[in-house]
Amino acid sequence: MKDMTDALPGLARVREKFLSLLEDRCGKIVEYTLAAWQATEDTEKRTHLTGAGTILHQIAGTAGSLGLQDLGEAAQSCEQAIIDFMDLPNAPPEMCSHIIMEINSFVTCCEDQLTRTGSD
Amino acid sequence: MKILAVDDDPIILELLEQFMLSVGQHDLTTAQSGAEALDIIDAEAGETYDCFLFDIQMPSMDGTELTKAVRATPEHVDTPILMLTAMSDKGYIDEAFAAGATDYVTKPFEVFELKARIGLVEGLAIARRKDAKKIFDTFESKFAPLNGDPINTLDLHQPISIYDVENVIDHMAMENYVAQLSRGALFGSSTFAFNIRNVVTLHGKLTPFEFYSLISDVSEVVSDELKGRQFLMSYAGGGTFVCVSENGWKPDAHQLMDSVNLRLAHTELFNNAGQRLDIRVSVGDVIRLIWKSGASAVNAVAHAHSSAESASDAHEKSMYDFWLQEKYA
Repeated sequence: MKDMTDALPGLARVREKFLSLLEDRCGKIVEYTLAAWQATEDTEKRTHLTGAGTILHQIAGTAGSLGLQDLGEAAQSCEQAIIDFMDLPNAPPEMCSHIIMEINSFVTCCEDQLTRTGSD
Repeated sequence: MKILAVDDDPIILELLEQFMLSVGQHDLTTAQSGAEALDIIDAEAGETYDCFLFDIQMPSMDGTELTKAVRATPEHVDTPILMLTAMSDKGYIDEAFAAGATDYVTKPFEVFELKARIGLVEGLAIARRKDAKKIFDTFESKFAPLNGDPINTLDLHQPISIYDVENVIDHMAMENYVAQLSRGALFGSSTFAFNIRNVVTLHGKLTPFEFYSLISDVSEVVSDELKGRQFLMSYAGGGTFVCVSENGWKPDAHQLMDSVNLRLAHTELFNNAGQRLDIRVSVGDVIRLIWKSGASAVNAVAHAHSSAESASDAHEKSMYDFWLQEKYA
């Protein structure tokens, strides 16, 4: 729905830049998530998840406009899981597991996209 | 239009650059943070932007804080501000509107939607310049005597922007706010309106500047009365203020009317000749916005507006009828 690639000819270049940043962004999200998983203090856990959420928020905000709807939706789903966790003062541990699973799906989605881009 | 876009994501800024290139006619400046944007505005003191595009969620200074800072600059008190948001969280959107945002676009955006919004904003920017001229061109006439021949170039029914009154927003922003919120987001919301009684007479007697000041003063009184509640209010023209309250609060119309009128009586409003203005308001129907969205929510606001006008008319009629009643000993 939000794909602007046909409407804006210069968008191919922006999409290329987005994809060139994706691997690095994806790596940072994984780092933050693992750090959150290993954190023993709740504050530390939330700090790492906020870091992951910020990057996911950026991806969710642009992927759809660049013709990458699935990736954008996967990022949005992860971001929402993090927001839900943050909204609860004493979030149960299974919520953190849910975030890990969501991020795992997102990373798979990123890898698929980057593989497709590499083979194009 | 001269536009300043602020977003911490460089990809969004590049998307906007491409968009502006395709639309043409716009001069786009970009910044990656609120602080950078304020530096740009400061460096170009005297120059004005026609439109701002701010991301709501940014580190350090978010879009809402940036909106407040920009609204505090005299050049940009009414420059349209379009918020860019990827969030469906209504709390962020409410805060942005209360801070002075005009409208918002949800990310990821599409070219036609953005084009339409920018087009609306362009029309608004032109209208704002004309309205400001109407009000302040006649500033000199504010000392005109009450029974003189005031120059009424300010149309009674035109919405007026009110500045620096808490939770009072531009009427177009109010329409955008109500029209775009989803059913779920409007679940705890109600709408109601206040109408200034005898507004036609007041408008005829007062200079445009006096009338503008009256509207601003009444909005301040109402805003003070609603303090502590979560609400947004705008002046819709014709002496009517429309409100949208949040968090399930549905006021009792009569109680609210009485308390606002008591506060108005204590406030003591005067015209520029020093004559006291006896201002009272009527409150119309209070309507829940549950399960309403888009056009039906806008219609509910319109109904609240017209019912407040009817309440004022009914009050005036009852005063008139009172004097026509046969008197018995």
